[in-house]
Amino acid sequence: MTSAPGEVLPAELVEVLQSINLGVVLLDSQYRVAFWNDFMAIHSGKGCDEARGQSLFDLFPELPRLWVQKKVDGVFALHNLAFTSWQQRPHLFSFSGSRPITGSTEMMYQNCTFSPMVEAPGTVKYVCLTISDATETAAQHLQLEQLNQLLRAEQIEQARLIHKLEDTQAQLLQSEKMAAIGQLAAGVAHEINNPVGYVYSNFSSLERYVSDLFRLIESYQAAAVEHQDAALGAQLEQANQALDFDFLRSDMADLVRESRQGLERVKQIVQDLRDFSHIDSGDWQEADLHKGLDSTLNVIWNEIKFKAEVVKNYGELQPVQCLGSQLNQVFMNLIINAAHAIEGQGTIWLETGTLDDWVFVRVRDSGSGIAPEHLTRLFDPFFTTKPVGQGTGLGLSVSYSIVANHHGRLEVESEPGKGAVFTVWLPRCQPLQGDSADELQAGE
Amino acid sequence: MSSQLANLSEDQRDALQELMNVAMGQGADRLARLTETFVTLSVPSIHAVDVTNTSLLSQLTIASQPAIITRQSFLGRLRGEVMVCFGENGADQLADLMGYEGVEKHSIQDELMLDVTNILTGACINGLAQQVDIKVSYGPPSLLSRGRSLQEVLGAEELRGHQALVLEIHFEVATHRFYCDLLVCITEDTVATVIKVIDQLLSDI
Repeated sequence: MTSAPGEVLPAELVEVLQSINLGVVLLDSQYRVAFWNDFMAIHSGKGCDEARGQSLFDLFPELPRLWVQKKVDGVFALHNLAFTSWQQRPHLFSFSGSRPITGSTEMMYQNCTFSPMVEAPGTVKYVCLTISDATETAAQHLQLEQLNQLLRAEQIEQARLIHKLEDTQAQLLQSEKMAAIGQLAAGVAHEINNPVGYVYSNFSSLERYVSDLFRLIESYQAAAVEHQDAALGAQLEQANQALDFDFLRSDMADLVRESRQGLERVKQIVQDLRDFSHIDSGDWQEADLHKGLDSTLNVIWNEIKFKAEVVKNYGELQPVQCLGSQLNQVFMNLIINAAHAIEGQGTIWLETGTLDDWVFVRVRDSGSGIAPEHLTRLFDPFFTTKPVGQGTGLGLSVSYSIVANHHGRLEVESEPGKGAVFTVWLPRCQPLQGDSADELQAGE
Repeated sequence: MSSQLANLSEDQRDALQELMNVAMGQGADRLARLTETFVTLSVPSIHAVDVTNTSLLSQLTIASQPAIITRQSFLGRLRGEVMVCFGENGADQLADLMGYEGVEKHSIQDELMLDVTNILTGACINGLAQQVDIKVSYGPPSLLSRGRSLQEVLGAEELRGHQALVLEIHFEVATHRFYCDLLVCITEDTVATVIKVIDQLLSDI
């Protein structure tokens, strides 16, 4: 079997094979090398004479023996070609890379072809194995693939950001709306406050003057009795009866008292509106949550008074560091939602309390409850079960982000038909780091 | 040109069928000897059609099921492509038969299918080429599509409007519970080579 190249192949053909930029190996049916060209000699470090007659698997122990044998057998049996591709089998032969300086790959990527060398018709004498260097293509391909992956990852990230942006925009819109309403309310409250202020103070004077006037009339009457002048007495009596003085006197007192109460209520509402919108406290401050709850309740009283009885069960609460107007918005959302969940007449319980360093405000209702499949989506923007036009689906999502902004959490429990419980948990003090701390200091 | 394919006479069609039967018989014989297992290559059904002819595609048994499809071209005076439709497991059952040992199935699935494609293409086309006495060369096999049906793949833009002679062949290795389907498409311009041989055969009778 150890024939020289010239005996296997014509000399001119050998010359061509030596200079060609492909690895060429002739294998017999026992997988022994009959010839290989300089390409193989250079990359394997073994000359053709050294390799001739040796088994391919002794020369390259790293080859998957059985698999290569099947390939060669297939070519002998079927007289067809067989292939390996760098994509599936990058380095059949462990030749070093063909880009020693600039390349990042250490091994040569190879495409191999097994082809039959037919001797007499119908018999295959050798299998010709050619190895081409695919490093250039592979490197480019792999680079493109990497780029592709990068682009895909960026695309996914962009889609996520766009989604987040949409959510944030929606929430911003809602909270801007609420802020605008709050400002409007505060403005109206301020405008009403001035006239009510002087009416109230005038009214105090008026009350005093009226009682003075009655005292004056009483002293006139007493003087008339002392004079014992029957004619004057009769004249006065007639005037008294004509004007129904006794009724006037008693009714006047009632009117004044009721009007005063009315004015006080107007003052209270104005104060509640101002408290609710916290126009005077838009920054982080220590606030009494009970006060916030009460003023919120007063502002929305009209919406709930015919639907629900409100039972307050307030516990001990220390002042809490918060943005008062924002928290009032949360309370308003929760209480109005509770009222909307009630069909006919029901009850809304407001509970507060302290647990370790946390305070809680709980809004519980006797309404229809929340379906389990809705529980997970409750805080999603635009999620609403109300009819079109009646709910934006933003109330709870805005509430959620306000509570999150306070480093607290908004919890919900519900069973259909048994009402719902929303609990706002807030830390008594805000952590002194990050953005909120900066805001806190800016506020102080 | 299209008339030549569409207007095959009864005799020509019979002769063509016979030619294919012999070719597949030889192919199956070689495969059996190579793998040392009993294999069957079905008698090919012959369709002379536009590849996008959907009525043909709906007749093909395998055309509508999602599959892994590979392709390999054969070149020369007989020119065309072989498409092999594998099930979702590819050719995993044949791993040991093809010399894969001690490797994780998932990592070699593609290469294994390409190997099987190459062997089948070689067996079928070499059989045919010998019958008509011409030499063919082969391109390397590659993956055509994954998870789509043949109908979808062939209906796609790039294959539209091609006239071809289509052979539908079923390949089975009973001992390994493996089967796949081959679609041999021969371009219309080189079909003339086959028809010429048929005419020769017919005139010799």
